[in-house]
Amino acid sequence: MDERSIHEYDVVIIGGGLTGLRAALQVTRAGRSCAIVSKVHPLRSHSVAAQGGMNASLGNVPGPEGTQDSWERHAYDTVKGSDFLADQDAVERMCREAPAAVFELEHMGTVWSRLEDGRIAQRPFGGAGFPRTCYATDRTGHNMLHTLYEQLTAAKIPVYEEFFVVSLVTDAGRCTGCTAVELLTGTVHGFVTKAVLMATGGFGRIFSRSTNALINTGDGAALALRAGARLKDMEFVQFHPTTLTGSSILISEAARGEGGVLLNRTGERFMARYAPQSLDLAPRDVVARAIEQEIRAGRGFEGSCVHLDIRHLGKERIMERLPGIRQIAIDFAGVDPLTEPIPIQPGQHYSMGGIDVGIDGVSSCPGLYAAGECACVSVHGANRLGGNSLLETVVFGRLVADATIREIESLPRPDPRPVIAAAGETEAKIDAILGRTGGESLFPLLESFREMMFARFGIFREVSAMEGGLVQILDFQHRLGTVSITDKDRAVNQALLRYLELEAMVMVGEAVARGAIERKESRGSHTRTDFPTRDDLHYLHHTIAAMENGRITISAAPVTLGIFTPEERVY
Amino acid sequence: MKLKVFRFRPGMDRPRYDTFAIASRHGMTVLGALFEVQALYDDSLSFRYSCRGAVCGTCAMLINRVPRLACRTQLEALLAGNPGPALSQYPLPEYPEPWDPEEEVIVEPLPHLPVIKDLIVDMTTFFDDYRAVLPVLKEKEPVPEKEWRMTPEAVRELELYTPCILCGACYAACPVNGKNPRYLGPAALAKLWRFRIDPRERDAADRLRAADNPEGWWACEFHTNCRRVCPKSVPPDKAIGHARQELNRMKKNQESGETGP
Repeated sequence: MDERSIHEYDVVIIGGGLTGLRAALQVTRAGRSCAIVSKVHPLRSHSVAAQGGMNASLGNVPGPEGTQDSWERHAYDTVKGSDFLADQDAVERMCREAPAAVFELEHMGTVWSRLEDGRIAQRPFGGAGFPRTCYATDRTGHNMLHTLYEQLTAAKIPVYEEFFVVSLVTDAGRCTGCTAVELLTGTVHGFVTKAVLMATGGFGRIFSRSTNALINTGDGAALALRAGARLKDMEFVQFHPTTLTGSSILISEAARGEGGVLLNRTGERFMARYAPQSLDLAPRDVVARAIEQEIRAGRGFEGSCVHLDIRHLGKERIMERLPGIRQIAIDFAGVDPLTEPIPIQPGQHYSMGGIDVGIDGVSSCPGLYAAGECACVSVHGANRLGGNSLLETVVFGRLVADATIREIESLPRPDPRPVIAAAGETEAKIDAILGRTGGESLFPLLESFREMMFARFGIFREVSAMEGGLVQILDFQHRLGTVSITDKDRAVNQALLRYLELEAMVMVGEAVARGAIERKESRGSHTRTDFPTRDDLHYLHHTIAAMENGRITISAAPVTLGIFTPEERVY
Repeated sequence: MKLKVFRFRPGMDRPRYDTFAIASRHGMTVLGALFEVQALYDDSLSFRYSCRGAVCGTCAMLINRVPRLACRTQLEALLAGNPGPALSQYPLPEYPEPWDPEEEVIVEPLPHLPVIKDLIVDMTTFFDDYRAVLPVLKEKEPVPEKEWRMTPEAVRELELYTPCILCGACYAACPVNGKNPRYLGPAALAKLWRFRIDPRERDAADRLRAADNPEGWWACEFHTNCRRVCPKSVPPDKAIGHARQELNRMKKNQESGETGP
């Protein structure tokens, strides 16, 4: 092994999105060395796509009848939105930290939209009792990510970009590093470190329809699971009702907020049958289920979709209020909403579950920490509220970095030998994959896996479909071992990257499937047609997935209540 | 339709072009077609991608000789004869390969940057220029406990420039970047200007002086290709024009100060 390929830092952060960048700044400020290892340039991370905003009870905009917002109200909305599965101590911490987190970004240079008096503007969001969402037009994540990247540049923090982490390394049960392949050259690198902080984002791309970036393949969750860490609540996956047919690009709720209506093939405004009061503006899960039912009943359009019609709003209003949505429809579906309805269908949007951690981000594998969408603290429980994911990234990116810094203080320099040995294993693994010939083709396998996941573990779930799906997942795992790639180059081998991602995806898929089969109730995003109601008596607990002897096993862990008592979730 | 793709990998004397038959569908993008080639014909075809929604800036490439995002560019629009923006001193003479615009779409790597493989270019000089303008807010003091007050007008002006996704399309479209690799380029200058006009910025005057040199504000020839290819409608030429006006005014004031009574 070339010693130039072995690197040593106090902390290695995997992932360069909002969580990873915020954590890196914190570690560096504490005088500790750290590096970011990311499979894309940090600015290409999925954080950049977040549109709506970041929740914080600044109280810049008064609530109904002049009431004042507070962290408690924010916490209540979050816990209720979570269908009471969120850990309330973690939610409290996040909501208390929120205003300071917004101001901190503002002082770093983030441009927020403003009120006439110059203070940060806030707008109402789904499931929130107050106008609490701070925003930067419709590109809040973009403005935040660019600010943190600017800070990272100024702090001269090293970034190993376009490096894909292949394995975590443990030494006597403690995580002491990772191995990664440098995608542009094919060189294998080893990272020796006192702590690994996982910030790899969600796993939306295990589903055929997802609003996520193409890179969100759940690599972090799979790495953690293989290293002996546990995952939590993996069955809770948020589906957004309106994504553009074909590309699954998000069409914001704003389209319906402005008066857009959903129509089926007969021209019927079908939401009247599902939510007679709130119609098209019912909560996300309700609308997503309704659309899916229409399509399944044969009342959808070709391509399994329904129509979102905004034509009646008129050109002037569309151009003024919804220009971004019009542009998305033109650019990505070749449809101009001024003259045609937008074809939409529900799609995966967010992963509530992830690596099982507490408020300090400590996983069940010593030395391994996690924060952001790849982690499950849990602050989102069974359903995340809009505006809380951006908040989670920066709050927990900082808190987890602090905890990491505290813990590594007394640690000796790790032994580099296990990392060097693991790098050799990664070399051998890549050689073995590239050495295979005449096997099954990768791309059809990838597509059929993702379609199966959406069909059997999507919006509606039922035991026999899921059990059949689990059998297929295990078969996919087996077949992946026989796949061969035509491209045999080590440098810039994107088929190899896709193979390594699929390895993670089929493992994450198994955790989702086993969790979903085990949870015999409907809660938040998890809808069981065979168990249509919430069952607090038996299921007010977290689902824990662990790897034992190569098999994923499921157990339960308590939910931290304490402030709010579970009640029926009515909007 | 056919996709004609630039192919190169280290060791090749010169690039070659491969042509692939694609069953074009309504709404299909160039990025979608590239994925189809990868899956159906040649898994060694290499190109960068991430969000597929025109927000991350990863997939800028030369499509029918115009720098644009592959994820946002529809095959149908190209075949229907929509040439995209007309660019000054374009197409570049170093891309002589012919193509049939009625049947083919030609895809090549961004100009002005070294090719690593196929459509993947080395963005190092582009991001070196970005770092050279020290793109980070230097905050005024005293720092308020909460947020700085900013007028909606100040935010509107800033938001002309903050949407930049650093895709490199402007850099590839700029004739000045083509002949002078030391030129900071439109994206870095737009970024620098964004800090110049930020009301929270302490060193606003330094920001202006930072590019007061032949490789900075003064290198621009106002071809305005940058603005025309920008997928986010950022106007770097406008920032550069403002900067030059301000510098000229400052110099005039200094001169009249020196020669005055």
